[in-house]
Amino acid sequence: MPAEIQLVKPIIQRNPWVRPCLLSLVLGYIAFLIFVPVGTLFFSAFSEGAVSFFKVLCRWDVLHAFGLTFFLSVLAVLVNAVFGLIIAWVLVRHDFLGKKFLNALVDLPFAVSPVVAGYMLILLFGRTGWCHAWLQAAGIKIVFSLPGMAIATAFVSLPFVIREVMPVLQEIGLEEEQAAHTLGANGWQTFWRVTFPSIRWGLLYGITLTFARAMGEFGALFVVSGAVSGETETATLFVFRAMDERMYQEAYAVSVVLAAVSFFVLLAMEALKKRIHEEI
Amino acid sequence: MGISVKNLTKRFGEFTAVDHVSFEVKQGELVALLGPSGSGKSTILRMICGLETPDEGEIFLTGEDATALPIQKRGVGFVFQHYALFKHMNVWQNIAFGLEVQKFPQQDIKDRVDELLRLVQLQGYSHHYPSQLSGGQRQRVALARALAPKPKVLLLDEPFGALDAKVREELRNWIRRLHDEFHVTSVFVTHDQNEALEISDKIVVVNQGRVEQIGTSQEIYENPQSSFVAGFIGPVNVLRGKVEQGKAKIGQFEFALDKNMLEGHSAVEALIRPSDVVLAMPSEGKLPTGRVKRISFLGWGIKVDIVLKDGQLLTVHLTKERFQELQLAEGQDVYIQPTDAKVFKQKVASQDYSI
Repeated sequence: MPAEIQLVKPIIQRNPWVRPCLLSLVLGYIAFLIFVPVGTLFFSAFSEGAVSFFKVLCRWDVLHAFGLTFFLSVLAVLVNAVFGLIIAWVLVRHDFLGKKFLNALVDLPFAVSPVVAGYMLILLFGRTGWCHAWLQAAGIKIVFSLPGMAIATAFVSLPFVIREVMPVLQEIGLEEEQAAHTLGANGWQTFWRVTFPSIRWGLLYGITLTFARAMGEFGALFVVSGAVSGETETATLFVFRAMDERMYQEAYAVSVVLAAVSFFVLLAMEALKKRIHEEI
Repeated sequence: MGISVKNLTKRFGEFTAVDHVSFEVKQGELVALLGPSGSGKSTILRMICGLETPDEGEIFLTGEDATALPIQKRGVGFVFQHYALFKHMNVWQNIAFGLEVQKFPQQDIKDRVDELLRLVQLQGYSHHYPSQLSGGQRQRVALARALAPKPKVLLLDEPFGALDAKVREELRNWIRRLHDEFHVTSVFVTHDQNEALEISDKIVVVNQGRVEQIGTSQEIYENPQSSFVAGFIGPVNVLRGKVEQGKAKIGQFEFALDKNMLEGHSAVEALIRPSDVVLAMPSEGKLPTGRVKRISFLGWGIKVDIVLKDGQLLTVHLTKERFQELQLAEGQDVYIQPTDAKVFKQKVASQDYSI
């Protein structure tokens, strides 16, 4: 049937070289930006053998740095999960003056350089800062100590939960909650049994992003922490110092661990994305 | 008394959605709130349920003042047009939800859910999720869920609106049977006059936030109290005319007038149902009054479009037998005599709901 063959024939004559050229361009670019650097990192980390790699990881200041990074990330996740959920709720469900402004403001941590964010905290809480006298009287130290680092980490990772939960809240609408009310459920029961199950995958996705972002934070912490080894030095700050002091083996090893954690977070995100699409 | 609303009013900004609405629903009655979209009928239902707060007026549920009662304490079952089933719960969990949050004993919950699953004929579906069900099945689950905690009143907001015609028909009959069995005081909102006429004990016709008329299907169909009701319920012809010598003169026809319509209203309109017209071949004493323009076959009968002498159009429904007797043809002159007409004052900007 020649007529049908005519139909399936491509109308535009394609250059047979376009596909392989595009493909190798993409692969080359990704290799240049991701495969090669990450591969080099792994190769360098283990260049002096696995024993020396694990030896580095057992150093006291390295363990402390990892502990601190983990602690700050978990703290940022907890704080931003709770407040992010509340902010998302208010932005979707309530109407008030300045809502659009607040909605735009939420993205500020994306736009502002983390270094600037850290500097803002210094201006506010530092020795010449507005709150300094008051804080000193109360005996609270924020800058160059844990509270300041926690605030900085929470700041840079604020938008993720909000931006992931808001569209889901918008999508599910009000009717299921109203149905729950008519069946006798109070606000608390409705939230936990009807609303929360609908937004949980979005929330978890936001939490994963928050964790990944918090773990990788460097600039704001660099400014606000003082980077005292064994005290206010996180894993990323350790890598920076190790490079500076030509302790390359240490820098490589810690970097590899950070990269590995990021990779698993990425896998978790992919799995979560699938769940979100199934739910909606 | 099942439900009683008095002077219910709701405004959205400048717009008055519901304007001093009052009506009563007897215990065990099935009542339709019928009106065009935007007439405020859904808002009335949502106020009875507690999903909206009235600006004025009172709501009584089984004799108790429920105006200020929170939604959870009203004992109402509500069925949404788009079901609003809990997506992450299966059919069983959906139906059990109300019983669980109201802390019914486990055994009672189990028995009640099983009973309701039987009632809505979904016994095999207790582990299915809403996304795995058809529209009709979802609406039946929504109904079972609303009925589970034994509500005092059942409110249904366009319950068949999202379903296709055949399923609508089935579910409509099924709801009527269900109601006859359980006698839950029920109010349902619809814009479909057939739905209202067919299954309700009483119809409340709502237009522009006001109650136009309350009555049984028959009362409303046969004795509409406004041109809106006449036009909204069933097909109708609207013929324009004026008052002359104490009678409504519309073309060649004359109709008696209510006394209160005589003064100041010279412009009137007569609403005539297509089935309330007698057609005959012109003969002596039966002068032709119109000409057949078009004859259409409707299945159960014949529709004849006629141009009257004064140019107005009139649609007449005939049974097949009568049509056979008359041997009508397009272009033929006929004698026309309306047997029933409702005469109303002509509105300035009359809406067009003639057929």
